[in-house]
This record gives sequence, C-alpha cells and structure tokens, in this order.
Amino acid sequence: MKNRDRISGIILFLLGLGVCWKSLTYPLGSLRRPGGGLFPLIASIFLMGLSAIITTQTFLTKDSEKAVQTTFFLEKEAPQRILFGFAALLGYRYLLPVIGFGPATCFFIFILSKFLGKYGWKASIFFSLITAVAAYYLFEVWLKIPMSPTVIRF
Amino acid sequence: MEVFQNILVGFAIAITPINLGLCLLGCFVGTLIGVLPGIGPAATIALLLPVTFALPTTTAIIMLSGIFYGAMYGGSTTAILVNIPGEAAAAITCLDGYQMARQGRAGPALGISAFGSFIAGTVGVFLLMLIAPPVAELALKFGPPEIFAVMVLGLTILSNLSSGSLIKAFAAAIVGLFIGMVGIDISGVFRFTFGLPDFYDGIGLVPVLMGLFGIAEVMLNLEQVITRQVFTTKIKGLFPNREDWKNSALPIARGSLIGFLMGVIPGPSNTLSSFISYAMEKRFSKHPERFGQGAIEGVAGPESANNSACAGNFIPVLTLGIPTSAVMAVIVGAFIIHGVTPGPLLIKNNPDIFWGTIASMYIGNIMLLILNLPLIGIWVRVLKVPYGILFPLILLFCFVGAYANNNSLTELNVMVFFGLVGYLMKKTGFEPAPLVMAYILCPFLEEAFRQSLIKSQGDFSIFFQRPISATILSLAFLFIILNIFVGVKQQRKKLLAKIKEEDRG
Amino acid sequence: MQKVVSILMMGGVIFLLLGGWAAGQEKFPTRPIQVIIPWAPGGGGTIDAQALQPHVEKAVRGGIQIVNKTGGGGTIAWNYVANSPSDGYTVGIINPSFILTQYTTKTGVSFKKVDPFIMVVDLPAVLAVKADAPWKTFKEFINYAKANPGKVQMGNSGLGANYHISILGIEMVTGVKFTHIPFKGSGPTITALLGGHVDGTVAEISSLLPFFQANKFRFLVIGSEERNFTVPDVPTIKEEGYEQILIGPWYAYVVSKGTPKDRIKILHDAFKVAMDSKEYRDHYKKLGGVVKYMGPQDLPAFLEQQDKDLRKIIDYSGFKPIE
Repeated sequence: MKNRDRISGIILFLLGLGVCWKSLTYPLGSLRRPGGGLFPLIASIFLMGLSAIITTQTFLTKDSEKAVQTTFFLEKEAPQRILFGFAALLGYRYLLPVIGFGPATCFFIFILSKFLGKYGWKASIFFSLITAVAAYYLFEVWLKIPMSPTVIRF
Repeated sequence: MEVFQNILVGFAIAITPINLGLCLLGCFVGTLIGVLPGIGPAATIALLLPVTFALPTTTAIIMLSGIFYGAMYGGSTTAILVNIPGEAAAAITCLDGYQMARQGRAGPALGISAFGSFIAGTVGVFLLMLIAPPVAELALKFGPPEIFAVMVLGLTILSNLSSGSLIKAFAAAIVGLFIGMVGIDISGVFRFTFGLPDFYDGIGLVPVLMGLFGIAEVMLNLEQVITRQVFTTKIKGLFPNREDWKNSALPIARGSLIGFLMGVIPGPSNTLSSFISYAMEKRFSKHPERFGQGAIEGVAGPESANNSACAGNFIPVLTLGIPTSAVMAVIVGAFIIHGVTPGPLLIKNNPDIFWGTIASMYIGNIMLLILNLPLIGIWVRVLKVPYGILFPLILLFCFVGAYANNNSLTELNVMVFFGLVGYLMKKTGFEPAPLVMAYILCPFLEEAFRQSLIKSQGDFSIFFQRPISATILSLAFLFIILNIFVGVKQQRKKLLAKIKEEDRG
Repeated sequence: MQKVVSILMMGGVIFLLLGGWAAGQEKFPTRPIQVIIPWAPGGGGTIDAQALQPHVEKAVRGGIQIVNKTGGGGTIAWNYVANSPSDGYTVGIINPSFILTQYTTKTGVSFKKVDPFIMVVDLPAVLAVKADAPWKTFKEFINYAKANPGKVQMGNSGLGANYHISILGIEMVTGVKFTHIPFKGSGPTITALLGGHVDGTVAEISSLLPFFQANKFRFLVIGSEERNFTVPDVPTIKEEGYEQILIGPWYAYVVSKGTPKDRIKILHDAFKVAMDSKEYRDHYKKLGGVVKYMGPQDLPAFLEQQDKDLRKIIDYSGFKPIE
C-alpha cells in the first residue's frame, strides 16, 4: 500500500501543479471582481498540499506497522483481463461510428463473453446476436434513441 | 382548518379518472426513465410537454410531476442492483445499497428504499401543505453567501462519506472540483477545454457517473475469473425484516425532514440532501463502521431525503413561481404554456390547480409504492443471472446511457476514461463518492463564492457577517474539527492497543 | 410476352419514381422540420416555439420537432443552424443575444450567415426594484445611483448577456456606475431580487409581471417604444429622456443562408398564420408580450441597426471576449 500511496500522492501533486499553472493563464481578476482563474488556483494549491501530505506520510510510517502487503491484483491473470476489458470498451466506442450500433454491439458482446466470460464459440455468438438484435429493437426502434452516428444508417 | 378544506377539494379534483390515469402514466414513465441512465426527468418532461397540450392544465401538471418523483424512485433501483445510479441523487444509495445486493439482500434494500421514499414523500407533501409559505420566505433569505455556506457544508461532510482516509477523501473531492471547473464559467472564460467544443459546457454528469460507478465496478469484478458469483445466490428474503425496520425508522424520519428543508434551497438540493442524510446517519449510528458494508440505514435515510426533497422543490414553484432546478424550470414552463402564470398569486387565482397538484402528489406516492413493490421480485431475479452474462449487458447499458445523453462520442471516451480512473481509485484507497459530490457542487460553490465577493467588494467577512451563512459555516467548521478529533482519538486508541499487545508479548 | 411485362414493369417503376420526384419537388416539408432552441426547456424561447407549434404544423401539413441544444450561451445551437444544409428543415430562433455573442464570445455567429424570415414577438425589458425600495421613480433611482457610484447592486442574467448589456447601456446614457452581480439566467436573478440580495434588475416583462401583480416588485421604466398594456403606468425610457437602450428579447426565426426562396415563403406564411392565431395572441396578452411582425424584407436592416446599437454599448463598457 505504501508504494501505491507514494505514486498516487505524486500523481495528484502533478495534477494540482498542472491545474495551478493553467489557472494562472486565466484572468485572476481581483478579490472585488474574481476572474476565471481564481477558484482553480485556490483549489489546486489545496490539492498540492494534501497530496504532499499523502506522499510524506508514506515515508514517516514505519514498515512494521503495515504488516499486510495487499497485492495489487488478486489473481495472476488479472492485469491481462483488465487491459482486455478496457481495450474492448475502446474498441466498441471506435467501431460504433464505423459499422453502426447493431454490428458493433454484436462484436462487443461477442468478444466480452468469449474472452472474458470464457464461454464457448457457439454460446458467445448466440448471446451476441440476440443481444444485438434486442438492443437494436429496444433502443432504436421502440425508444427511438438514435444510436447510430454513421453515414450508413443501420 | 381551512387547509384541510382546501385539500379535500384538491382530492376531489385529483381523483377524477383522467387525472388518476395520467398520474399513473406519469409515475410509470418516471420510474422507467429513472432506471435508465442518460435520460433525466427534465428532458422527458420537456419531450412530453407537447403531448399535454390537449389536456387541461391540472391534468398536465399532475402527469408531469408524476414523472419527476417517479424518476426518484427508479433511480435507486439500478443503484442498488448494479451500482449505477439512474439519477445523481441516487449516487449515495450505491454505497450501501449495492453492498446489500451483493450480500443477497437486494430485496430488503429495494423494499426499504420504496417504503422510505413513500413515507418521506408523503410527509413532504404534508409539510408542503401546512408550512409552504413561511418556508418559502425563509428560503428567499438564502443569497449568494448563504448558498456558498451550504455548499461548503456539503463539502465538509464528504469526510463522513468514505470509510477510508480523510485526506484521501478531500483530495478526491478537489479532483471532483477540477472536473466541475471544465467549461465556460460565469465570466465567459473557457477553462480546461483544450479546444474541444464538446467540453465548452463542461464534462457531462452521466458519462462520469457511468464510468466511475458502473464501468469501474465491472472492471473490479473482472479481476477474478467469472466462475464465481458476484452476487450471493442465496437470496435472503424479499422484504425488509423486523430488524431492518427497527434500524431504518429513525433514518427515514430524519431523512424526511432534512430532505424537505433542503429541497427549497436552490441548487442540487436533492443530491445534497441525500448525502447529508447519509453523513448524519453515520454520525448518529452506534456502529458507523457498518456503513459502506451494507448498512440499511445508509439506504433508508438518503432515499427518504431525496424524495421529500421533491416536495420541497415544489414550494418555491407553487408559492412564488420560481424554479430552483432545471426540472422545476420545465414544470414552470408547462404552467406558462397552458396559460397559467405561476407566481405569488397562483394560490389565489388558480386554487384548483394549486390544491389539485398537491393532492395528486399524495396519490402519486401511493401509486409509486404499489408500482415498485411487485417489481422487487423481478429485479432480484435479474441478479440471479450468471455474472458472465450480466456484465456485458451492464457495460452495454452504460454505453447506451452515456451516448443517449447527448449523442456525443466524446462523452463515451470520457466514460471509459472515468471507468479507468474509478478502477484505479478503488485500488489505491480513494472513494468515488466525494469526487462525484464535489463535481456536482462545484458550479454552485464557485458561482456563490464569486457573487458574494462581488457583492462585498472583495471583503471576505461577508460570509461571517450574515447570520445564516455564519451559522452554517461554523457548523461546517465544527464538523471538520470533530472529524479530526475523532480521527486522532482513533489513532490513539490503536496506538494504545498496540502498546498493550507489545507489553503482553 | 415476357418482354412486354418487363417493359411495363420498367415503365411502372419509372412512373413511380417520376411521381415521387415530382411530389418531392412540390411538397415541402416531407419530413418533420426541426426548430433548434439554444436555451434550456422551460425558458421563453421554448415556450414561444411551443405556442406556435400546433398552428405551424397545421399550416405546413407536417411535423415540427422542438429540439433544445443548449450550450455556449446559445452559440452551439446557432452555429448548428448556420452550418445546417440550406433545405429549410432546420429552423433556428434568435434574440438580441444572437447579435451580442459576436462580440462577447469567440464562437459567435454573424447574422449575415443566416436568413431571418420572420419576427414574431417583442418582450420589452423592464427595470424592476423591490416594491418597498426607497426609489419610486426612475429619476430618484438614477439620482441615488449617481450620488453613490458602485453602491447600487444590479443583478443580471449572465455577463455579456443582453440584460447585462442593457444595464451597461443605462450606465452609458445616465453616467452612473453600478455593481453587476451575475446569475445563471433570469430565474435566479429574480429570486435574488425577491430576497433583497440585489437592489434591482433588468429582465423581460413576462418573467417579472407576476411579481408586479403580487405587489412584490415595482417597475421603474420599460424599454419599449410605447407603454405596455399590462403596466400602463410605467413610463418608457424615451419618456424619461433617454435613448432606447433597454433591450428586451424579441424572437425571430431563421434558416441557414441560401435556403431556396420558395421554402422560406412556405415557412414564413406558416409562422405568420401561427402568430396571428387567437391562442398565440392570448398567450402573450397575459405575459405582456407585444406580438410584432416583421418579414424577411425588413429583418436584415433591423438586425443591422440592433448590431450598431449594441456595439455602441459594448465599446463604451470596454467589454471584451475572454478566452
């Protein structure tokens, strides 16, 4: 946990620093007429303070107190699964405008259930087809929510 | 009393078949859109408004109001089942409601949510009937410094929302503030938009909620191979048992009051009241460590608060004709387009509309209770579906919700990004709830801050010179001190226990 | 035999296609027309469109879809309309803010990029103070403000929006100095005035009227050419001896530039029928709105004049778009 805190503390500090810097490029105005940059500036200074505390706390607490070393990932294959999951999400998002809602949904459900859900080929295809058709009818036809940002309307 | 005479007239109006029928329709539609993310009550009411042109005014208002509090009932359903709040006001229900669902107690969670909402909603309307005008006058006294104080109070109680480190909660809150600052501000400056027109009006709430709560939760579950059941198969009862009721009685009572009073204040009062109720219940509980692990008080209180806040929201509209939120603004618009000008004279000029609407709020609450209770059995059964099938559907649900919100592909990117952020946050000990809360509060907080400074010509003492804001700020200050005190006490206890152990060993 | 059949079929198909094409040519609209509102639902623009909607639908024998596209102070919707295909299916609604955003933001769209085809209503702006305020007339108000520069706090519906510019206009012609407190829209501004958190505000008469009638507000001056029928005792700003600088919203409807003239005519006639309808006029009678017509011949010159007037105030105040 200590390493994690150290990293998150540093990341937060950098975030605060970035916001602080950007907020100085906006008009600060005065206290009488506060401008756009004043509020972010104050908030980012607070964040830098807090993140500094988080990071320094990791140096002050002794190792022996944190006896339980919780692993980041609970299982061995976890990192691949998580990466795959996010890749699938991004893939769905970018496929959507290219091939439309129906086919993209089919693809998305398929790779999720085959590779993450560990279902077989037939089951995954079946599941993805049914879901894609059902989703199409439910959202585009019945509820009339336009889900296809494509040129070729599906 | 004259009031009771009037309300009887109101009931006579509300119980006509057409009014009853449309009330039911409104409640049903409202529940549906409350469950579906990305479509809020404001947009739905605006969409259905032309449909009401042919109807008499009272009927139209009854139906549209039904949509509003139906959404409050529906929003908590998905929050409990899959950790995705259908409405921002249901976000806090995710904390304990979802945990209860994982323990097989989705039924009691949904049940207490429905009952609590009903009781609080009814209490709210009752209070509305009796003390609307003086409460409205009190609400008028809330100017920019007072609103700033309330928002600050909201931020300080964030410390009570998380079970983890206080510092991390505040850090998450500040990140939430940053997200809220993206977009155009009140002086016309475009901040942190990086040239993307999709961000000109800020980063949308729906993609952030879907990502932080929905996607992050699925990702966390995906770490383990999906042979395991995420939700315990043994469903422990469909309704709250006696102990649940005992624990929830006071939270419901307190939530009803808090929600009603806060509902009159402009701003995100429904959400804020649910958060304050949660913090309050945690503070008053004899076992605060149970919160976050499935404590039913964490569902009963907030759900009651956000429903009685709906009644509170109506007070400025019915007594003064002023809307305090986007949804109320659309309802005021509905009045106007039907030829009724809401204002201080509404109760005098159109008493039938005034009392008919109030009476229908009672009826609406009853209808929603009757609608939602049988559904609990169905919802609970949904959870029995194997997670391998459930999780792709949840992700699909998030996508549709985020896209339907604004038809923006960029918002989908935002959602996935926040899914990653939420995942990493949970892994490193940060809670998403303070972030979301701060994000929601940010525009109101900053606007009130800047308006107050303009008003006082740069003098900070304005916050302490006015009685209401001074009181609220002192409360907030006390809260922080109390929390630090409690934190220090806990550290001392831990240290003393360690020393004792080492002594023994 | 087969050849005859196939020729007949081809002929039939061509006939249908020609018929369809001809029908498409003559009939406009063949699908719903979208009216894009730059503000949130429940506001004045949406209400105006909704009041016109049933009559316009009947006149064009088609559907009207009201779409709210909020953001950027209206610029998102206006840019959308200006860039939409010039086929008459995308109609926009504009008010004075449309002209203002050219100067107050970097994303404003020039009124030369749209074809305005009708103006429907004029909602005069009113300067309101609380009913128990010490100033009974506009003169008293201005004298007090002159003697106490910066002390009078005026709420506005947003920095750079047309009421803020109106208040700046008052400063320009009277030489006083106010403190300007911005709010998000007229609603919160009125609430603030009710609670006494600001001393006065300028807003459209439709929003302020209920409070005047309930004796909560006092109107000091109105920004129209003539006195308003709902508040006949309130003097116009011209009567007070100043030029016309209170800019109340008028609503006009536009399509993107280059839309064929016959389609503009169809839209114009339909909207005119709608604004002449009894329901529409009654609707505004209650709100104090003046149903005023202006057609596509006069609108460009009118917009040009508004542009000049508004630019004067902006130059005086030194207001600059910040980005």
